[in-house]
Amino acid sequence: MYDLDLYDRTDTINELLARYGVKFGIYKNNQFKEQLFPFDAIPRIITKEEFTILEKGLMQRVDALNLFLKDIYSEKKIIRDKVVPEDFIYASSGYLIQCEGILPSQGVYSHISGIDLVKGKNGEWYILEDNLRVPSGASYPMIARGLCRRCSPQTFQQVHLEDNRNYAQMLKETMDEVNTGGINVILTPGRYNAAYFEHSYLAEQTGAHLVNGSELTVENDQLFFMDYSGKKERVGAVYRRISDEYLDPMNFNPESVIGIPHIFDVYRKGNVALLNAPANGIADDKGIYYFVPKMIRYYLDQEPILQNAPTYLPFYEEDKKFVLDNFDRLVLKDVAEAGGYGVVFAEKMTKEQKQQFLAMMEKEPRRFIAQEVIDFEDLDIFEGDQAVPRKADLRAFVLTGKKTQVWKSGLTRFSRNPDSFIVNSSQGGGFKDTWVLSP
Amino acid sequence: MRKTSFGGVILKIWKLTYELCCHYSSPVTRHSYTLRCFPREMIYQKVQSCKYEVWPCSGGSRGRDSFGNSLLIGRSDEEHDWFLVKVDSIVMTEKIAEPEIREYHQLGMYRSATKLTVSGEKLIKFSQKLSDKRREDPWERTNILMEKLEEVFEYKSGSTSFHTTAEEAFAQGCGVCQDYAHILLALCRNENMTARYVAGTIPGEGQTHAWIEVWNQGRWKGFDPTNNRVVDEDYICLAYGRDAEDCSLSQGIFVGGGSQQQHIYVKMEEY
Repeated sequence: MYDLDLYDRTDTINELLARYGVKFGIYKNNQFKEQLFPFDAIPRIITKEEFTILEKGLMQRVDALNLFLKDIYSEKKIIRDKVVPEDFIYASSGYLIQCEGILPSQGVYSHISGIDLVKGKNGEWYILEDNLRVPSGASYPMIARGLCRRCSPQTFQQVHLEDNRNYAQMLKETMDEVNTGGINVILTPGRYNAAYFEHSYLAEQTGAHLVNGSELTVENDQLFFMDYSGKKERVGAVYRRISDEYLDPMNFNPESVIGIPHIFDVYRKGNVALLNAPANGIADDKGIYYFVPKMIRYYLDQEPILQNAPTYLPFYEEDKKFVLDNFDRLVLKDVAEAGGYGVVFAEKMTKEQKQQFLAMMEKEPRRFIAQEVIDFEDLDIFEGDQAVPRKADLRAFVLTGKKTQVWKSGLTRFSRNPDSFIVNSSQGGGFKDTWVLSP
Repeated sequence: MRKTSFGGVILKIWKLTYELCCHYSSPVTRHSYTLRCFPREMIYQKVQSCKYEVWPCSGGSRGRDSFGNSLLIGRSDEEHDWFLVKVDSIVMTEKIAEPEIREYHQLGMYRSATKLTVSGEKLIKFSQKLSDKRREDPWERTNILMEKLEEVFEYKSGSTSFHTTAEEAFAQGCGVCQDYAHILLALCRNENMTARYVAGTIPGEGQTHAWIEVWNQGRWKGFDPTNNRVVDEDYICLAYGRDAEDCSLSQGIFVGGGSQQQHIYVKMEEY
């Protein structure tokens, strides 16, 4: 695989990516900076057979998560039947009381799910986390594929793979299927958002209007887009790229200036679809992650196809005992933290830190999960002309409208630092295209 | 005494007036508001009539929040330097023979602490001091907790704000009805009781009031810690929720305005 013509074009592709503005912004010391997102030309390759399993497993997982969300905000059977303890729901910051009793259009909560996986050295895929709020990243492999094909058409005559340039079409269909009457819009907090490139690119590719909060207004229980000439159009679906708390100052954080007052009330009345639905945070909480395999059994009466990383909840006595007995080989995560914060490897703790942690765990067992460290497979990247192995994960995109489907690609992120497991873009990581082979 | 169609007995009929008046030192525009200042239907309370007016924002639409509280939602884009809401209603308070049928799923949320009712060090200590190993009836227990709170906490108007937490109020030893309710909620929830916050009114002229309700034996029973008494037919519920934030009777955001002065006037009298 190392003689593809494509590999000689890496610099050209990166130049083109820069020219198209494929960047992400980060805040460092209160300064907004845009960085290029380095692209590595060696793709992650997934065979057709392997992808078939991934696809089934991802659809199963996202369907169960959507059923969980529907249940939690209505009858709560899963709590009544003691599959998930009530402490993990009501005390979670992801549970939003405002959403109680609301059934979104088509009963879908997570329309665009970003599921992070890694492949273990044993060849098995493990789910690392579910992102059901505002997962970003699909635009990068989308645009990269287009540029790769343009720079090296012969490569794509040589290998046969699934076209991933249909993501925009899938996204548009998802919006159309839940749309309650009116146009589709993509709501962005603005150009200083880390993923602004993606917002504008997806709007362009799906034909949705790219709007900010001040261009939307609520009147008579409906949502309208107002263009520069003052013309009003009804909005039926909002792919919102701002978080729940900033969405509507009348219903969430009153300080928000980027939200739309009363948009949530329009949603409550069923007059607009919000993608993703507010309140999904309850399902991608680190503590709830532990229960996803149980959800699959509970709602679908099926065995999970894809496994979680082995996870223990000190909340349960049995698990607590395991954590104490195997402490040094576990990674510990604070449920309340996100984005790579609050994650510690037990073996790197000092004796004092360990004691402190164990005391905390004893006091607030619900706050932590412990996981076994997965030895995941390295992928080669180019460093100059040399191919060197680096840690990489995969974010798969699963879309749910009337039915659930998995995009035949995904964002593969890698760490450029040989000793690091952290693949986050903000930490200087890069990305690869993900190829799903076709027969 | 008259029988009602619900099998209950009407105890009292009330005439309730609620007025909210806001003055802005300079004109405001793009004013969005959500109002919850309407008596709501309860198993022990029926709303016979409810008329309301809002100036200068005409129109608006009705709705319900997650708790079923009655909402009026509206917006005014015209410049204005005052905002007035007037609600006149006739409400019957009743005594119900049948226990309320509540689904399991509508109770769990009232057992968890919220930001405003979470116990800090002082409240945890107080809870521990009061703890009693005997398993008492939740209502008897609430009565005891209410008595104990009365001994250590006093009413002092203006000593707290809308955002004061139970712990903060308890630490300073004084507060208003909202704080009494939050502290009693914290104490009840520390003992794993199912308890909710109620915003409402009591007879006379003045402000709105707040108390709590505790779930037991298939029904809610009210406790008014500010007055250290059990709630009866002399209380009208406007909104309920997990804490005061869920029951905000009037919310608004607008552009401009400088400083704001707000007056609330409530009158509740037998009809």
